[in-house]
Amino acid sequence: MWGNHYDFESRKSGGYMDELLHAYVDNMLPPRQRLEVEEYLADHPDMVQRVNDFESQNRGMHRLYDRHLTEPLPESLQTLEYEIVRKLSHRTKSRTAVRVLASALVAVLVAGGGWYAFDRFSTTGVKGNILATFKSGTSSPAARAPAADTANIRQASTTTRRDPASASRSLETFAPDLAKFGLELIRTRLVSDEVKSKTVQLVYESKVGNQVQMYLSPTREKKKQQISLSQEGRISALFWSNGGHSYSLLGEVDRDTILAIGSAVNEQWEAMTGPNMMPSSSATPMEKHSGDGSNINHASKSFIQPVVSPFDRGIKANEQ
Amino acid sequence: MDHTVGEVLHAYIKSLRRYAISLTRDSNEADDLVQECLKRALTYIHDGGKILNMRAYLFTILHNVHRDEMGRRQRNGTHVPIDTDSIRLAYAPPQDTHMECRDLSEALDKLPTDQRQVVLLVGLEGLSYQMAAEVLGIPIGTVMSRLSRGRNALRNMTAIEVVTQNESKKNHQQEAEGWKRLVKGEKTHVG
Repeated sequence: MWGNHYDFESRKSGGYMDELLHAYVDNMLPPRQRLEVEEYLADHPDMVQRVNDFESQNRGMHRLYDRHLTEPLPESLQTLEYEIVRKLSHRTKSRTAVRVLASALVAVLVAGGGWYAFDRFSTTGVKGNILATFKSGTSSPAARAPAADTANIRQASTTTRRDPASASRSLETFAPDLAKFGLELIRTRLVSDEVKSKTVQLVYESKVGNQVQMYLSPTREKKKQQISLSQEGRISALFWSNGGHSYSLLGEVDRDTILAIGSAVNEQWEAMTGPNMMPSSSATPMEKHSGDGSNINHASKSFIQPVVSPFDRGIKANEQ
Repeated sequence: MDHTVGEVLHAYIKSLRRYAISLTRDSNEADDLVQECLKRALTYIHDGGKILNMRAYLFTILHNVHRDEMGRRQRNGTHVPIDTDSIRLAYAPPQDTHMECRDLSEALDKLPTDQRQVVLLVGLEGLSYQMAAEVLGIPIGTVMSRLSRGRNALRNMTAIEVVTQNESKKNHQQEAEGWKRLVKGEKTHVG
C-alpha cells in the first residue's frame, strides 16, 4: 500500500492525510512521498506537533520494553529454541545436499544420457552387492546376498526392446506411489523438451521434510540393465537401468530405504508398462501387450522374450 | 548448529517475548505465551510444515494463543495474580524517564486490546502494516484505522496527564508560596 504512488495533493485531507502521517512516522513512505509530507508539514505546524507526539510514543515504547531484549531467555524457551533451530538446520542441510546432487545429476543426464550418469555417480565395487539386496520391495538385511555379476544380467536381456513412443509417453505419466515410505509427491518437472534428452523429475517429501528426488530418462543403450548405489554423506543415490530407461533416486534416507523405494518404483513401472515382456519388431499391433501382459495373444508368444528386471535378476543370481 | 538460522530465530524470539510482555504486562504470563507459541511452531515443523516467514508466523501463533487465553479467562472469570513482582518487572522503566514512561505505560493499559496490539506491533516491533494485518488476520485498512485511533487516544491521554501534572505542580508551588507567606505573617489564602 505504502510503496505505491498516488495523488498526494487530492488526498491531503481527511483520513488519507492521517494515514500518511502515520506512514511517515513509521518510515514506510517512499522517498518522494516522504519529501512531500515534509513539505506539507513545513506549512502546518500543528501537524508537526502531532507527528512529534507519535514519534515520541514510539521512542517511549522502546524505552519501556527494549531492556527485555537483553535479558537471557528462560531455560524452557532456550530448550525449545534449540530444538527448532536443530530441526530447521537439519532440513536446510538435507535439502541443500539433495539439491546439489540433483542439479549435478540433471546436468549429467541432460548432457550425456542416463548411463553416463551411472558411471559418473556409481561407486566401484558397490554395484554387485546392491543387486543382491533387492527382492520384491524387500530390503531387509536378511534378504541381502553376495554380489551378483552384472555382466550376466546384460547378457540375459539383449534380445528385447520397447516401443520408444509408448515408453516415452509412459515416462511422462509415470508417478509412483511411495506413500508406504511416508513420501508424498510434491512436484514434477520435465527437465528438457528434447525427446532424446528428456528427463522427468519427481520430487517426494516426507512429513518431516526429507526429500527424495527421482529422475527418469531414456537411455541411449537400451539393452543394458544395471544398478548402482552411491552415498555422499547422508545422501543415498540409487541408479538403475531397465527397458531403455534409466532411473535415479536421490534422498536423505538410509541404504535399505533407498533400495526398497527403488524396488517399489520398478514394480510400479512394470505394472504400468508390463512386466518387461515386450513384443519383438515382427509382432502385430494386436499382439502387443497392455498392462500386465495377461492379454497377450498365445499365437505370438514365440516372439516374446521375458526380460528380467535388474532387481529380480539380482536375487536370481544369488539363488544360483 | 546453523549459526544464521540460530541467530535469526534467537532475535525473533527475543522480539516476540518483548511484544508478549508489552501485551500482557506480566513477564510470567508472557513467557508462558511464548513457550506455547514455540511448542506449536516446533510441532508444525516436525510434522513437515513449511514456514515462509518465521517472524510473521511466530507473531500470528502468539496472537492465536493469546486470543484463546483471553477467551478462556472471559469464560472462567478474570485471574488475578497473587505475585505482582512480575507485573512490576514487566514495565519498570529507567529512573530518568520514569514519569514519562509511567504515563505512556498507563495510557497503553487503558487502550482497547485491538488498538494496543496494532500500536505495539507497528510502533514497538516495527512490523509493516501489511505484516501486522496478516498477523492479526484483519484488512490493512483496519490496521490503519486502529493505529490512528490508538495513537490519537494515547496522545490525548498523555497530554491530559502532562496538563494534570503541570496543574498539580503549579498548585504545589502556589501552596508552598502561600505557606511561606503565612509563616512570614502575610495574609493569604492557602489551599
